[in-house]
Amino acid sequence: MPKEIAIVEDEANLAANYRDAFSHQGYRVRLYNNRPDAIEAFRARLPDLAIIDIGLGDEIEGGFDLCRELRAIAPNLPIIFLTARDSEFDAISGLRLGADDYLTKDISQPHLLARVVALFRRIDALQKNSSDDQEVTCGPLRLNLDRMCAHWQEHAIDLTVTEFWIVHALAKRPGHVKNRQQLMDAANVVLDDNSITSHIKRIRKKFLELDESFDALQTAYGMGYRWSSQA
Amino acid sequence: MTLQRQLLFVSLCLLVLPWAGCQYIQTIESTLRDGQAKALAAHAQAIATTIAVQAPQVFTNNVPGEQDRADSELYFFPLNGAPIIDGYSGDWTALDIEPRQWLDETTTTQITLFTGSIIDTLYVFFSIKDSTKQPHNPQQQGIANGDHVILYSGEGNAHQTYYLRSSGSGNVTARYFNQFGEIRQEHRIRGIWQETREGYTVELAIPKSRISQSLAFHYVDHASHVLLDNKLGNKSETHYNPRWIETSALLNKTIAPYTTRNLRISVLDTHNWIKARQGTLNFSDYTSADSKNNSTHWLLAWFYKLLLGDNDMKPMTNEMRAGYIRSSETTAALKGNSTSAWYRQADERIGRVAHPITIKGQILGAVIVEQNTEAVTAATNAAFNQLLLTVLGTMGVVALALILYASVLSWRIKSLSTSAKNAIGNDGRINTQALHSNAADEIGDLTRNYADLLHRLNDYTEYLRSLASKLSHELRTPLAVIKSSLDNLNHSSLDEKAMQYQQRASEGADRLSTILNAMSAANRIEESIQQSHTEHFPLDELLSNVVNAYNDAYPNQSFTLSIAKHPHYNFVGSPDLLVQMLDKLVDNAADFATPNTPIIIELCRTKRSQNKELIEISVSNSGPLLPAHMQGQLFDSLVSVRDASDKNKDDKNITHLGLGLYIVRLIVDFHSGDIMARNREDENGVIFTVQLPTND
Repeated sequence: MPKEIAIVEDEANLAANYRDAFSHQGYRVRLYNNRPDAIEAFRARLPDLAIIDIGLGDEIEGGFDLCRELRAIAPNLPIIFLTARDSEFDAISGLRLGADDYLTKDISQPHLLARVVALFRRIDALQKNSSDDQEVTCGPLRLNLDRMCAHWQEHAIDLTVTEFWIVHALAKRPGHVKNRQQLMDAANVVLDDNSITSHIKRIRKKFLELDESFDALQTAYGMGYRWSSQA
Repeated sequence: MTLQRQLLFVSLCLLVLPWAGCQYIQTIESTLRDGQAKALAAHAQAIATTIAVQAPQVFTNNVPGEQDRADSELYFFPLNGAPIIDGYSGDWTALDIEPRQWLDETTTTQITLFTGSIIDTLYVFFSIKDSTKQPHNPQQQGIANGDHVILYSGEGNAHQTYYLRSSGSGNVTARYFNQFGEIRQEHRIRGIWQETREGYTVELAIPKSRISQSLAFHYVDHASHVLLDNKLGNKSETHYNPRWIETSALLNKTIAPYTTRNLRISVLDTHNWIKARQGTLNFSDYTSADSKNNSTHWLLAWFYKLLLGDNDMKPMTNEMRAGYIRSSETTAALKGNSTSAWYRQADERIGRVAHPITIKGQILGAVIVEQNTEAVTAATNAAFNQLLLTVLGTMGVVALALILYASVLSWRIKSLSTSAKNAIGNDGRINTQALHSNAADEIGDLTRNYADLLHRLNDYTEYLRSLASKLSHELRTPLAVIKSSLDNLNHSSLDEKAMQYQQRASEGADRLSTILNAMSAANRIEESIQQSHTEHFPLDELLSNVVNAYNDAYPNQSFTLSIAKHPHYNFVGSPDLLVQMLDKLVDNAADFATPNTPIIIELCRTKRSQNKELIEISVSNSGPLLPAHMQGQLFDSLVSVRDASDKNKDDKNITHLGLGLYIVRLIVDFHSGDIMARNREDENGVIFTVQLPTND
C-alpha cells in the first residue's frame, strides 16, 4: 500500500508541484491549503507523513499550531517543516515542537525526496525491530543506519535526519576533517556555512545534555569539523 | 571668528554705558549751571535796579560828543596808598595794573603811562623813551622850548592847558597862560622830572579840583632840525578832550551789600570801564578744601576733566589790570541784553552774568556778577564719582555675566557639535543616544531635532540592513515554485532542446537561490551571534590553523602570517565567529590583492590608554586604495565599494552584496572590539585592523 503524504501549503502552485513530484515516486498525496481544513482531515484520518508550511494564509504561525495539534493527536507521526523562513529561531521552534526535520523551500526535489525516504525508512525499521541492522560504531557512539538512530554510551540520542547524516559523515571516518561542503552533501542539504555551524552546535548540545564531558565533535578552524575517536 | 570672540565684541557695546553716563552728568552740570546763571542774572538785575535808583548821578557826567573815544580815555586805577613822587617807577610797577602805551613809529619815541587815584588826587607816571633828548633851555624864549609834556583839560572855551618842562632832573610844576597871555605856574600840579639814559620819567600829582572831567596829554618831542614838533599822546584833534575815569565810591557803597562769598560784582560804564568792584572769587578756598577732603585721585581728576571737557571755555583774564571788561556778554549788556558766559580759571569754572543798568530806556552801564561753580562742581563731582563707581560695577557684572553666558553657550554648541560628530562612529554606526538634551531653548531644540534626524537615519539604515533578509524571505517561495516546477519537468518526456532550456533555467534558479542565501546570511549571523557561547582559546593557534587552511583554499594566493612575540594570546570569545570574520576579511583581501603579492596577516598586542591590553589582528593587501567617500560606510549592510573595474571576477563574485564586511562588524561588535579600514602607509594597499579587548 502506498504511503500517504499530506502537504499543507498555501501556495497552490508549489503544492501542486510537490504533489506531482511525490506522486511520481509512488506516494499518495493529499493537499491542504489552510490549517482548519488540514486538522479536520487529520482528525478523520492520519497520513503517514505531514509536510507543513509555517505561514498558512493569514495565519503567520499556522504551521506551528498545526504541528502542535497534530503531535497531540499522533505522537509518532513524522512531521517535516518545509518553509521559506530560514531563521535560526524558527528552525529551533519547529524542532522543539516535535518536527522531525526543518527544511527551507530552496531545497531541491531530490534532496527532499531523499529525506522523506529516510524518514520512512526510520519508521519502518522501528516497526520491523530486526537485529541485523547496519551499524557504525565509534567509541561510545553507535549509529544504526537502518533505523536512523544514534546511541551515545548506550543512551539513545534523538537526532533529526540532517543531524544524523552529519554525525554519520563525521563518525564514519574518525579523525578526518570534513569541510562544510562535504557535510552539506552528506546531509542532502544546500545551506550556507552558517547553517552547518548551527547544526553542529545543536548536535553538540544534544550530546552534552547526555554527557557533560562530550568533546568528540571538534572544530578544525578554517577547515571544518572532525570526530575524535579518543573519547 | 569663534562664538566667544563674537560675543566679546558685542559686549564692547557696554562702553556706551559710561559715555551715556557722562552725557547725563554733562546735562546735569549744564542744567545746574543754567540754574546758577539764572540766579546770578536775578541778582544782577536787582543790583542794576538799585544802582539806577540810588546812584544814577555816577553815570550822568559823561562828556558829550566823546562817546566813541573809549580808547583815548584815561582810567585811573584805585590806589591803596599814595605813590612817592620821586620819578622812579618802582612803586608803580609793583602794582598790578596795566600801563598804557603810545608809540611813534617814525621817531621811535615811546610813552608808557601809569595812572592811579586816591580820594582827590590823581597820580600819573610817564616813562618816556626819546632818542633825541632836548631839555628846556631857560635862556631861550617860550613857555617850553625843549621836550615837554602838555596836559589838556576842559572842553571848548573852558579848556585849560598845562605845560610841564624841565631843563634837568628835579622838581617840576605846571605852567599855563592866564587869560592875558602871561605865563603862570600852577603849584598844585607838581611832580618830579627825571632825565634817564633813554629819555625821561615824569611823575605828577594832580588835584582833581585843578582839572575838569576830561583830561588829555601830549608829549612834545622838540626837534630843532624840523619845523614841526612831534606830538605823541591821547589828545584828539577835536576841541573835546577825552574824559578820565575812576572808580566811584558811591557805586562801591551801593553794591557792597550784595556781595556774598565767592561772588564778585563789577559795574561798568558804557565804555566798559570798571566803575566799581566788590567781592572776590576765592579760588584757593575751594580747591584746597577739595584736595584735602576728597583727596581726588589724579586719574579720577583726569577722567573728570576729560569727560566734562571745559576746554571750550575761555580762560578768565584779570580785568582789574586793564581797568575794563570787554567781552561778548558785556557788549550785549551794554546794548540792553542780559547775557551770561562761562570762564575757567585753574580748575574752576566761573559764571559771569552781565545786566544793563537802564534809566528810562537809556543804558547807563552794566552790572557784571561773577561766581565760581563751587556748589555745582561739588555736586557734579559727587555725581561723577558715583557714576564712575556704578558704571565700573555694572560693566564688571554685565561683562562677567556676558562672558559666562557666552562661555556656557559656546560650550553647549561645541558639545553639540562634538556629539553630532561622534554620533556617527568611524565604523558608520549611528549612536542615537549620543545627542540628548533637556534644555527648553533653541539649542535644546536643535539637539533634539538632530537626535530625531539621527533616529530617522538610523531607522533607515536598520531598514536597509533588514531589507536583504526580508527580500530573500519573500523571494524564496516563488523561487521554490520555479525550482520545483523545473524539477518536475525532469520527469516529463522532453525533447533535447527543451531539456537544454530546462537545464539553463535550473542553473539560473540555483544561482538565484545562492544569492538569496547570501542575502539572509547577515541576519542568520546576527541570530547565531545571539546564541553564541564564548570560550577560552589561544588566538595565535587559531590563526595559524586558519592561515594553513587558506593556503589550501586559495591556491593562487600567498599568505604571510606574522605573530608578534608574546607569552600567550589567550582570548575569550567565539572561535567560530572569529574564523568567520577572518574568512570574510581574507576573502575581501584576496579579491582586491594585486596578483603575486601576499596577503599579510598580523597578530600583536597593543595597549590602549588606560593600560588595557588589546589584541590586534590585521589583514592587509596590496591593491587599490579605499575610496575616500565611502570610509565610514564600509562596514554597513548592502554597501560595496567595488567599482565596475572589478567585474573581471564577477563569475565568482556574483554574491557581492556588501554583506561580508557587515558580518565582520557584527562579529567584532560581539567581542566588543573595534574595526578600522584604512590605506596602508605606503599608499599602495589597504589594511583592515581588528582590535579585541582582552580581559587579563
